[in-house]
Amino acid sequence: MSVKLSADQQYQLSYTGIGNDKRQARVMLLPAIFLLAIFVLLPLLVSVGVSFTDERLLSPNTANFVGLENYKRLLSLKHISVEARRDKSLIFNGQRYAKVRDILRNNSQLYGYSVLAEFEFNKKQQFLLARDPLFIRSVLNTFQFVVMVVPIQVGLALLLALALRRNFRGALVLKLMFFAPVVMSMVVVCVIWTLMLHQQEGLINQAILSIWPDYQEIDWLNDSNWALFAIACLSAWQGVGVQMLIIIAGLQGIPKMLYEAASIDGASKWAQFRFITLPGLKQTLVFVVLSTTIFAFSLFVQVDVMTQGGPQDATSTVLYFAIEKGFRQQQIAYGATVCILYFMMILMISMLQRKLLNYAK
Amino acid sequence: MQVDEIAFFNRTTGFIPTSQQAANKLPEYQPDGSLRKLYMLSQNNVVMRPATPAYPVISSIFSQAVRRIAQGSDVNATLDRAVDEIELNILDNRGYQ
Repeated sequence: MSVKLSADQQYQLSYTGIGNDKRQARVMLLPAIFLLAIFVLLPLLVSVGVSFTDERLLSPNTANFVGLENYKRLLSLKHISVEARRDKSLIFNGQRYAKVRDILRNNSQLYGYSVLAEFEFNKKQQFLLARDPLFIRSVLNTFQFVVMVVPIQVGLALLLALALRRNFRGALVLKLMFFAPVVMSMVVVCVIWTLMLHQQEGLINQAILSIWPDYQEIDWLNDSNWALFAIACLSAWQGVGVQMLIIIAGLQGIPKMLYEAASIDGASKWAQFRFITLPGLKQTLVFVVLSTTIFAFSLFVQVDVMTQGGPQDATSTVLYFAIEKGFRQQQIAYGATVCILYFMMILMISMLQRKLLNYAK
Repeated sequence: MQVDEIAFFNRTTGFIPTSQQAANKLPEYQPDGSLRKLYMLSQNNVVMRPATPAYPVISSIFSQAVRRIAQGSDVNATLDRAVDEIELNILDNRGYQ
């Protein structure tokens, strides 16, 4: 059923501002487009071009066109199965080798590959080889980080927002407290947390020990099982303030009368949360999840300051890998290739996520 | 570089001079200068870094390898890996010719 509106109301409803002042809108867009073109679009195009060459920083050699070689090196995977003898020697193609590395160096079709993973299957030692195992490891680490940090950060932000939505006495002080780490420099946060995560003297291990005396101190940043989790917790803690504020704003957009009607109908607090707050917050939560995911993919500072990709490559992320290769090892073309692949990956994930979550706007 | 150039460079930057003759031209580093001991110390103890254009790469890969070993990796496997990475880099740079 359509509702009849007066001409004045109809105008207000359909007014978008842009349609009527197209020329003014274009003029106002110019500076932003100019800056975007110079600082985003142009570097992107240049790095696409560079990724097809072997350009390097500070090299007297001129760059050569190498086609897709950089992409091949990043993504090549191979699988070999090797018979392992009891004296630990390995049989591959009828020849005996002492180490896997000898197999890789003495067979020309395997040259340049190194071991990504090994497992036993069918009574043979199976090796998954990659030309750049560290890149693949970094991609997996980054995904692992995203899977850890997004639920922690969004869940924590939702809890904080629900706790602080009413303006009780001291709510502002609490909001400021939770927002303070966002304003602080990430490097400072990382240095403080490095001290807090120290195995013997760190605040976190001391606090757990005082509650639970049998606890074996975890060396958070030097234990390959825990380092990424520790970084995820710190990142969630650092970024939670922004998400909290966005969710509080979303909560204020939910009409009060819905809660009044629900409580008159006798709905419990949980039912009110489940059937009013969550549906009312849907768009906000989708936006928060999307933006947290994109931020989480750009993990770099924490790794660079706290672990330098260590222990056993457990915290090496794609951006850390790109900087390490592109700048510290001066293979700028290779670094550019990593970034372009990564850009396409994030773009696809964001679009998929948007589709899955039915983001309307 | 000529002696005068080294002396000029060190006079401006304040770094320790890299040759005896240049040191003798600078008041602080002359045999009776106040910083002579510093010059003698570095002359006797400094180890030069390898003279190769691959130095930044080797340094980066080697420091990564040392860090991995310090955090418990197998020493031989880690050093093998570092060797492979450095060899690959030299190959990529056409032998730094």
